[in-house]
Amino acid sequence: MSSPQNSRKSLLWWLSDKLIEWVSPEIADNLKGDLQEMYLRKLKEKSKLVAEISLLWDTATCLKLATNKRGLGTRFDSTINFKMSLRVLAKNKSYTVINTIGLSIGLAAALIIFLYVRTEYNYDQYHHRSSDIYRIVYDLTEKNEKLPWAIIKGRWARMISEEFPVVENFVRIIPTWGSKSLIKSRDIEKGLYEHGFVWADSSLTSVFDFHFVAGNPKTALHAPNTIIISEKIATKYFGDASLAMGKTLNRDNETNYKVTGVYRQMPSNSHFHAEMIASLMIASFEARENYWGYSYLLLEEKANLQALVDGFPALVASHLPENSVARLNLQPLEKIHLHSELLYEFEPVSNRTTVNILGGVGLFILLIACLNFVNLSTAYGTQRIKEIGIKKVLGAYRSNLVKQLITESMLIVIFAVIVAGASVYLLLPFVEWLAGKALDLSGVFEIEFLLEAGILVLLLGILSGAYPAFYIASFKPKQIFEKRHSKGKSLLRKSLTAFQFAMSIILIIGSMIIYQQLRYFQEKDMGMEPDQALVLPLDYAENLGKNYTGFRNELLRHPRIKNMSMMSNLPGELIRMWTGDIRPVGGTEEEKVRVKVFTTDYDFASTLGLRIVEGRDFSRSISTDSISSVLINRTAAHRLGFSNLEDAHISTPSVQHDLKVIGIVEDFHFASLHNEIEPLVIYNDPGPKGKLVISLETENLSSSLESVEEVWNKYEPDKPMESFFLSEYFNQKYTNEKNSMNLVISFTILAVFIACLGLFGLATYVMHGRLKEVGVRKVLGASVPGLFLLLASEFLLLVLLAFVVVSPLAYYLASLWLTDFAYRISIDLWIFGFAAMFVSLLALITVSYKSLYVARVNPTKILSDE
Amino acid sequence: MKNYLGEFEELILLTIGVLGEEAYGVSIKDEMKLRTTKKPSIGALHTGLQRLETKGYIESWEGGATSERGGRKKRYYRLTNLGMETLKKAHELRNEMFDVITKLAWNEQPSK
Repeated sequence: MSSPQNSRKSLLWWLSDKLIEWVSPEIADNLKGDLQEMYLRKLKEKSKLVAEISLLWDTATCLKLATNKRGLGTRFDSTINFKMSLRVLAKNKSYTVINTIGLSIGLAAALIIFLYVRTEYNYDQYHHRSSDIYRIVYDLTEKNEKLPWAIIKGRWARMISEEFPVVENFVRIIPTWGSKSLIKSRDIEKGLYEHGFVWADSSLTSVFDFHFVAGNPKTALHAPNTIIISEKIATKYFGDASLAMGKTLNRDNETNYKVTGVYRQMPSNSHFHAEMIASLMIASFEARENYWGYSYLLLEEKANLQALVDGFPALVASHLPENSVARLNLQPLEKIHLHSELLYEFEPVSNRTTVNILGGVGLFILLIACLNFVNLSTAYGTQRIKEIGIKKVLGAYRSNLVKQLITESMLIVIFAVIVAGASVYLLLPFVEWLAGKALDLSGVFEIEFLLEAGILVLLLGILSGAYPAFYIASFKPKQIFEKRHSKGKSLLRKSLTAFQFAMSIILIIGSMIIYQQLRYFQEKDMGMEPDQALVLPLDYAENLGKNYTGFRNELLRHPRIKNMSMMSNLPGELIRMWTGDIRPVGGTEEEKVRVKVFTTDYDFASTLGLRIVEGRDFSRSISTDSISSVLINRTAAHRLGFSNLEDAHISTPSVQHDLKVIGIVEDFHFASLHNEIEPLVIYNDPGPKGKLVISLETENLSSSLESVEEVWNKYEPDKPMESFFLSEYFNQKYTNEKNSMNLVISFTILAVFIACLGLFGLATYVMHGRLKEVGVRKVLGASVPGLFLLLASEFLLLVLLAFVVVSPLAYYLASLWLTDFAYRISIDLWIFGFAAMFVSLLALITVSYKSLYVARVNPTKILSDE
Repeated sequence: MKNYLGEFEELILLTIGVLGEEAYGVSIKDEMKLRTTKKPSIGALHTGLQRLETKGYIESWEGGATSERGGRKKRYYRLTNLGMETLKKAHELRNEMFDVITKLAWNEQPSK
């Protein structure tokens, strides 16, 4: 072991070495040796963190070596500077507080956004071989239309790993496609519905990292009836992780699984979250081959990816009939969360543009805060011009003054960092609530990261402090006492303020657009009425499925229950929807249309409140309706080229006989507003199906709900009823947008607030420069309101200028964001008008305090100075 | 005061003397921690060592490199004759004065 750390020399060591060399070049080697020895001992006895902190402390104690030989001179100088700076800051409390608050808000906001963006970008990177894991995805290319799927049949993963030696391992994960599972244990006899049940190959734990608290990860899933569960489930069903081992869980009254492992909750930044993982060995080899699911490959390190993908077509061709359109591809695990645009994704993924926008907002805020700092420091410096003058007359060097001013800035920066760090720490739960997910804090509390962040912030402080320091220190004493300085050079500060406001305006416009788009989502006419539609999942209610007619009749006797219909899946539940090909009877291959398929029973259209444009809904009185009739949506009718319903028959490979189109329903959003409306075919199949939708009267919803539950308990006494409203389900689809909107809007408010602080600083500076002018004007008879307008208008012009310059950019950015949505708002010009008005008003309020003060001042007080 | 020896400096000299040929930065620190309740910081220790070496009370030479020091050599310290002399003087001075204290105490016993 020649080096203290890994091969890379860490920042901490570098810093320590440099400091030691600087304070005492003569015995540097000796000291470094001692430090290293002590570090290694601490590392062995305690932890890495303790060792690093001790190293930092030990290095710090060595600083006194610097004064050992060189005498006291340098130390004296810096002590005086430090004391002076503290006194100056303590004397000007309002300045110190405003500046510290501005900077710490900026830093805190930037830090939070940094943590958030980092979480988004670090998805799935907690697996120790995450960069070697790929998901096999399925491209169906047809008529130039790409339909990439995240799922494939299980056999491909096995075949690929057998054929290509670069594949070290593979794992297949089969989800329950959005349904909950009824889980029972001995303690919870009646069972509870749970999300997050999956089946997986036993190789799961060798591909992905799971943190086992009990059980052996290597062998946990080998036997057919085994299951590993999360700590949460273990606690819920067995009281404790240690008690769960070897116990039995039952799923859906069908299969018993023996618990062979308990793992710690999967981190929030994983693209899927499984609570219970059962061994896939429960299924036969053939079944495992044919199940659709997610397949992951673990490749050798630095494997040639392209060569592997190039080998896929040959593999596919040898197993599928010719001219097959299926194409396999690989998707890096780390890119799933931000770069995936696949159908049938495990969990909703994030929108990369939104994450980047948020990152941009963070940079904006940081920039605004720094400019603000520069502005305030400079403005404030001009008020202490006499102090500078006196010091210079008494023989201070320019370098002395610069040092002292920079010390002041650094002190403020350090205060601000402390305040920001503490408030981020305290606000973290709130931010996580706002963001809708836990932030990834791994590594944040390591000394390495803290040190890097600290150095970055200090650099920022020095840079922001440098300009005001040099500017103020450059005043000539003669000018100062002749009072010839004054305004003039405020152009830079003005442009800085204008720049701050420009950014605030972008943020305001941006958050208004985001807000409007979400409102649009929520208020858009979906083509149906989901508000009073109550959904009951029927997946495991066999009794009810068998006696559906009786159940239905009993419910319909209730006056406030209007109608009901069973369906294979809910509108919006794309993951459970079938896809098929249809063509008009006698149509050619070219006329084939790819459609989505809804399987329902009678009363589908009236339950969901769909409008029938032509023809009729399914009817119980017409016998053919249950076998050979379908409804299609308007888009499908258009694609198929049906102008009327006479002789509108379609055929599809999966059904023997032709199907008659009996009605066309108006397009409705059966997927989500992210996707365009696709052609849709609605079958009527009287058999049991996954979901029951009941439409209720608006009044007395809770009592209607109770009546439904009463009837349910009659038919399914063993199973708790679950229900939710369809509209809630839709709203959930937009949680990602809602969360990012929350963040963007909160940070916009902060940014605007900081910009106002900056404007306040500028106003202070400019007003003091114009005191004499105001005095003269007053003597000559100017009124207070007139003066106020004169003083304030300058700033209003500044803000308006910022607005004019920045509007096109805001427009461009907004339209860029909106292109991600299939259904989107058009950008209204009044938003811009509103933003301009809002910002101007804020600016006016901000400057009015100082303007009024100056406008009302007694002219004799100013002019008697002369 | 040419031969002035601070309390901390004296402690360092004593420790080096105790350690014999094995006195270097970390071992001196450990020994001091062991024998007194004080825990000197490594910076303070080296400040003292540097001063003592300038005054000529100790001398140093480089020993072998070890892996736990990242390949850096240990610098060993030992007392010079002057250092030993000063230590003795300080000790004698102390003993003499302490004797005076005990004598005084003896004399003030109520003897009559």
